[in-house]
Amino acid sequence: MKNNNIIIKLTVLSAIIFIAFTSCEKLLETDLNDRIPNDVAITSTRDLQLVLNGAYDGLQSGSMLGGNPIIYADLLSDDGIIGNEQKLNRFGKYEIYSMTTSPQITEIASFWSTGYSAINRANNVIYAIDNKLVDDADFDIYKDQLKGEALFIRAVCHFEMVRFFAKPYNVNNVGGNSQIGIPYRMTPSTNPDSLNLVRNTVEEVYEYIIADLQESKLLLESAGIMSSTSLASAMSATAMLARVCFFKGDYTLASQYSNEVITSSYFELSEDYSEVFSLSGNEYNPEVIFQIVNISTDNSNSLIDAYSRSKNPLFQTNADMYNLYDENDLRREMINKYFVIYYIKKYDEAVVEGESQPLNRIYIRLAEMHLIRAESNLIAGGPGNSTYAFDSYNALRERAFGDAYVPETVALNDLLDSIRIERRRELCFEGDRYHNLKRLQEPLRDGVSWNSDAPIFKIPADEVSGNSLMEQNP
Amino acid sequence: MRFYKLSLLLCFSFLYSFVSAQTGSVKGTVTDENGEPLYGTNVVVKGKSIGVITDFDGKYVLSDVPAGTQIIEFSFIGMKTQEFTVEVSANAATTQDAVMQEDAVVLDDVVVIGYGRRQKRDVTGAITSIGADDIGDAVLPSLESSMQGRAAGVQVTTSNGMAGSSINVKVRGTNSISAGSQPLYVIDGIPVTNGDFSANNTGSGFNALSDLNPNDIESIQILKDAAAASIYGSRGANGVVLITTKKGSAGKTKFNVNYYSGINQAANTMDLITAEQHLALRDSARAQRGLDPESADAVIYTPSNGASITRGMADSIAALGGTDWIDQVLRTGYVQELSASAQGGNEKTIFYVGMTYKDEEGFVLGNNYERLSGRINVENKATDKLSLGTNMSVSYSKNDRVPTGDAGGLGLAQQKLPYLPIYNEDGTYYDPYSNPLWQLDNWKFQANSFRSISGIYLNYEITENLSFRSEFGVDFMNLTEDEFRFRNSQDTGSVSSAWDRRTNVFNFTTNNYFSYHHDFGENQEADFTLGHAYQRSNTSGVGLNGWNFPNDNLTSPGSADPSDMTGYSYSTAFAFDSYFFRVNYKLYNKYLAGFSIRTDGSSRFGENNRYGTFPAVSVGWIMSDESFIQDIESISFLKFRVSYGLTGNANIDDYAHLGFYSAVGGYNGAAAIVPSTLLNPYLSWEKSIMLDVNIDYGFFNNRISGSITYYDKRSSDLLLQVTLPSSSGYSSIWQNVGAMQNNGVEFDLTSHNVQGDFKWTTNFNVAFNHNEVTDVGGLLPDAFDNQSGGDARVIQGYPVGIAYLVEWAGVQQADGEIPLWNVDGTPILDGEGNQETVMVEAGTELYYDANGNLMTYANPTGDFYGDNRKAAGSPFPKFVGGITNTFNYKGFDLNVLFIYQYGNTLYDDQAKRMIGDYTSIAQRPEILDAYSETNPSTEVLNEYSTYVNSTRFLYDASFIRLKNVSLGYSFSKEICQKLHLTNLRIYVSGNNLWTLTNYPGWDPEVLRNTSASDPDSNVSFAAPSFATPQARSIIGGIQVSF
Repeated sequence: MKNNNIIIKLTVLSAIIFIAFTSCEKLLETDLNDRIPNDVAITSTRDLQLVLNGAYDGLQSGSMLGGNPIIYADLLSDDGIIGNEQKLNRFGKYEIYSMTTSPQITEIASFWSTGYSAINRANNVIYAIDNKLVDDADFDIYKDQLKGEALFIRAVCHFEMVRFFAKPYNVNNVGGNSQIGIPYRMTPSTNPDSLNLVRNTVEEVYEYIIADLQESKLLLESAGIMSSTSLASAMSATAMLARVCFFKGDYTLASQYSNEVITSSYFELSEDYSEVFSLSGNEYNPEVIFQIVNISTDNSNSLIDAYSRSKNPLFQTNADMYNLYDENDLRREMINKYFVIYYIKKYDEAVVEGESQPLNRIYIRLAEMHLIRAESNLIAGGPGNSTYAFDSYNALRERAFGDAYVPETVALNDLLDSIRIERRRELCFEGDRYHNLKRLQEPLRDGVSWNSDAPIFKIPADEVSGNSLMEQNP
Repeated sequence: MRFYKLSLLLCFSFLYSFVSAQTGSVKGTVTDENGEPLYGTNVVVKGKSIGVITDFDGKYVLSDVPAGTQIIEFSFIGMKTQEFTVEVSANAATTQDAVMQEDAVVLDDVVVIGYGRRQKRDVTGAITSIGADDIGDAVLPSLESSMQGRAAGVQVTTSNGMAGSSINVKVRGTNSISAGSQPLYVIDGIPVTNGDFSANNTGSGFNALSDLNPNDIESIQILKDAAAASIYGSRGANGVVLITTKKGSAGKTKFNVNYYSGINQAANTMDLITAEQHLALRDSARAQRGLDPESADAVIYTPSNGASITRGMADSIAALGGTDWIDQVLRTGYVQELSASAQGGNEKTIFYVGMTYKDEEGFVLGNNYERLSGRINVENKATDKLSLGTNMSVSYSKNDRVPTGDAGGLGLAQQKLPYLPIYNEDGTYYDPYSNPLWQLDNWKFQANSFRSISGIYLNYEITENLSFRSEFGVDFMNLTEDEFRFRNSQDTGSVSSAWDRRTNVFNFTTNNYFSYHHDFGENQEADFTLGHAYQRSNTSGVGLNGWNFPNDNLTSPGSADPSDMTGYSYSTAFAFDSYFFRVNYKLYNKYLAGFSIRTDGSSRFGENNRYGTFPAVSVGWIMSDESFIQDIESISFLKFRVSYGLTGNANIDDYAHLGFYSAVGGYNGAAAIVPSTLLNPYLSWEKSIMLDVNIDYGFFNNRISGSITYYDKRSSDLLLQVTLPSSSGYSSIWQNVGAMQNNGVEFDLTSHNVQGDFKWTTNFNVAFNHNEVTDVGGLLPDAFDNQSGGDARVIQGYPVGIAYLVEWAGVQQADGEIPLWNVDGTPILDGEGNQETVMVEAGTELYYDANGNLMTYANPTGDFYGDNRKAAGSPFPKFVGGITNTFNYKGFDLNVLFIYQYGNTLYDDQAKRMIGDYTSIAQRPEILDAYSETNPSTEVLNEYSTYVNSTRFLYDASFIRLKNVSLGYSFSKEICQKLHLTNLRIYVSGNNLWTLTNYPGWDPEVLRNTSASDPDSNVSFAAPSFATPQARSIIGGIQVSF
């Protein structure tokens, strides 16, 4: 009897165990406390804001606006010289510098993937707004602003990449740049089987960039976001339009857009040139049209390591560059002459309350608008024509010389050259020189032709193997 | 009345006298084979309810045994039951002693199979057993090491000799490209957590199994084929390692104490050129370029902070012999271990308790390991039918980890230029950031691991043939890692930084199953098993990082200002829900058949593929029981068996099938979420279909025995990270698209060469395995680029992890022209239709392009790497194995283990820099043979510091290694008895004493440092980078039993 009891108990127990472990699907459920399934990720305006912040996060990366495109531009042109060969790492900067990139260069792959991942984040925001996936009280209030910012990010990322991964826009053939550019991604990636995309032509890419920026400008204007210390605004979209049009040789539009920014009264040239380059966190200088804000927890600013004297930097510059400046030109202080070594000072660490802070990355600033307006007006005419050109040129000279400024007279015939030299003085080490040489169709470093295939980055291996429609650069 | 009383009295006395006249007693002593008294032996008179248990001296007295012929039965768990016929005389004591013999069937011939045990003879699956005795006296870095060289088809590679570092175990080759390829470890029925849970990489992985105490192991069974492993379903494809811990046995409590201590060293030495040679190299390189000799004040090294080194300073350092950086970082460490155990019990309860303390000082400065572990195994027979028990183990380990490999430390010491000083004149470290000694002095990393694997079980015999077993087990691991990096006091901007990381793994398992034995009669019998298993494992981790401490005495991250802190947290989980059934059938005790099936569901599989089913069939034929073979005297045992079945590999990421968003740092202090992965609802386990054909043999009365096996394993649905266009914002998605096959032959042999006073036994095993990737889902080789070097790839038609390199063609012997070629193999023509050529200076490295034409790095055919790499070398050995020779003479025992592997190559990733990049890093002696005008016919380039990945650095890494030698002496019984001991043995043992290899790197037994959970670990393992050698330990020890 006793044994029977135990048998009954055990049978019941095992039955319970079996039933407990078989009856419910919950057995195989696991918590996802640090993941959000894709289908429920965007359900509120707040979520849209979070994803947009993710797009900014991509934009902020050292592989993107955080710095590398500036370093690449200097590796490929002649403002800087290599000061520390140990930082010219193999399968990385060495190949970029020697213009022998291959699809295997890690940091180029990272440039590409970071840019497109920011674009995909922006596209998720744009798609959700266009298709009204969100329906809450805040949606109508914020949708224009959120979409405007997302479009701006999408345009900027494509713009940065098309200039390194495709042959340059030939300004003498406006409208006819049919050389292959990069794929312009306009929809979020959702189905793994349909992610292939062909490279658009350079012409198309520029068209889409301009269209995105124009829409961004309108949306942000309607949202009332004219300027911002850390985010995209109507004015930053306008300034980008000026820059993009300028580099595609559409000097009429470039002149209009730059003039719109200059005359908008939101910005003014900083009295102290160096101050613009020492901003950190929420510090702001009215010359700045769009900056990537880096706070103490960010370490994405790769520029310090490449430029700052304290880091035994990759770059130095040379006497030619130093001598480009008049001795009273305060901008020359950005070059630190140490015996025969010329260190670059534009990206020294910011120090706030005794602690070094990551620098903000000044992406576009008023001085560039003046340079664009000046040059565009001279080439294309446009509002104010040479008057604007002189005004802008003088404004920059005056700021550069400060108290030592003596008004100068430049003959109209010489003005274009002077503006171009001024552009180099003003924007050196800001990633402008390389692209500007291509725009002007002048030789790059060491006599390499502006239109050469050599400096064009190879499309990264992942893209080539993952995208059956991808075409590699020659 | 009186009469009445009297008659009663008479009656009683009659009765009494009748009884007393008819009974006697039996007494005696029961001992084991060694003459040790056996406490707790059951002694019964058969057919009568008379029985006693022997006392502590093994003595018993059976009283009131009816006179006459009686059968006395002696029984004891684990011993053969014996019966004696005794003539019991009335009123007399008869003496009957018994010497109990171990039940060979129980101890020797039963193997643990999944969810049960079975006589080895009747097993139809491929199972290799390793007993505690086989393991010997070696210093084991981890319990997996006990399998090295001792099990055919099990390749064990310790990544390096650092204490606590990871180990790679391959059962019959690699079956996976991106998913885990390590076997499933099951300890006393509980699948245990293994892998690398360290949150930070110090250049040498962490092995969760290193916390388990090898001394507690009774036996290890390795399930290799489908018939054996399919009972573990979706987790059996990589093989299953079943570990059984010691249980104890009834009898007098036996104590066992073992202590050893000894030294630890690096197994091999690494030769680098001296400072003087190095500086001479600089000179000759300049001379070759037509440059003037360096002036004494020329700066030749600029540190990241501190003073530069001029040529003159370097010369004076070199004149004093230079700096031997490796020697500075290495040391002779020590190792000691004390273990004590007790086991015993009675017929109701048996127990084993053990405790081990191990203390190891590694051969790299600062690397230490300490472990304290304990175990209690108790089993109680509550009733005739019910037994229950527990297996509990707890261990606590402390591991001071130091950077090595690419992370610094010893890895950096291999790179340091020999003409640089260690110290500044003021005694501070020179060039701290790249000074390995500064690193080892200022970077502290301590991993504390608390681990408990504990289970309870009960076994109920419902009927004689039907039993039910229920097991509950918990494997809990708590890993705490404290890291502190002291600031560089020579750099004003430098601040100290500290991490506190904690990882918890909670792993719960329950197994519930019925076992049923059925006798069909007519010599047919069958065993059935039916059950359910469920496992859930949760892993969570947090970490806090703080820096810039207000005071140097503050080293906890929480002491930093809140603005100087960062951290992380994560958690993952998985669950398995499994049902299994098995039947083993036997006819005439010689025809065997088996069938098993398991259905596994897992949270790791996509919604459309939640459950998978894994069947296997097997047949066996004990040929030696057939009359036509029984007649052949030389054949003592012959068994033929075949198995075929399906197993799976579910070692995939917990959430690989999910498409999800996750939180990232955000922008300007605002939070952000970003799309991370795309959904794949079809994602499932990897499948392996395996055929196994085997013959077990025994000749000459089993003096020679072993087995020979052929297997063919076809794995498909392999998980691959299918590349997505990175312009989609995603880099890849996990899909089941790959396929691979492994086939090979395993042979093992045990030969009792000499028996008698002098005994010599040889165990030999060898395994040939051929691995080939048969489908990569169209992925290009570079889709498997780990982006961190090593140049290993996955290419269809080649073994997984094949090197993918440009073929080296030697060195241009004299200045001359070489023609230029197009990628398609056509000549490059100039305007006049002649083939273009390029001038190549003597000493320039030459390579073959894809078409076999010569080219140089400067003037390649097409893109140098993009168009010209091809599969090269062989990441896996053609064969691998071990040979153990055991000698016994009188009290002496000698055990010698060699392991060997043949036919594999290692891509010595950094050799390209250590032979040429002389301005940056230390150089190997090979550079001294570089091309020069006086040394034109060499194979060593002279294009210093142009380092190129090519087959030039792909080296044959075959080796044979004296893995372990143990020599022991057991004192004679007389001496032991005088000391009141049952056994006293002293021994010496050495590990990694000798190696024969052509490999020019530090140590051919090496793995690239990758985390075991990193998909790349299956691919780049054969491409070490600044490798760390194995440890050589030499110990002496003493074993005492009483």
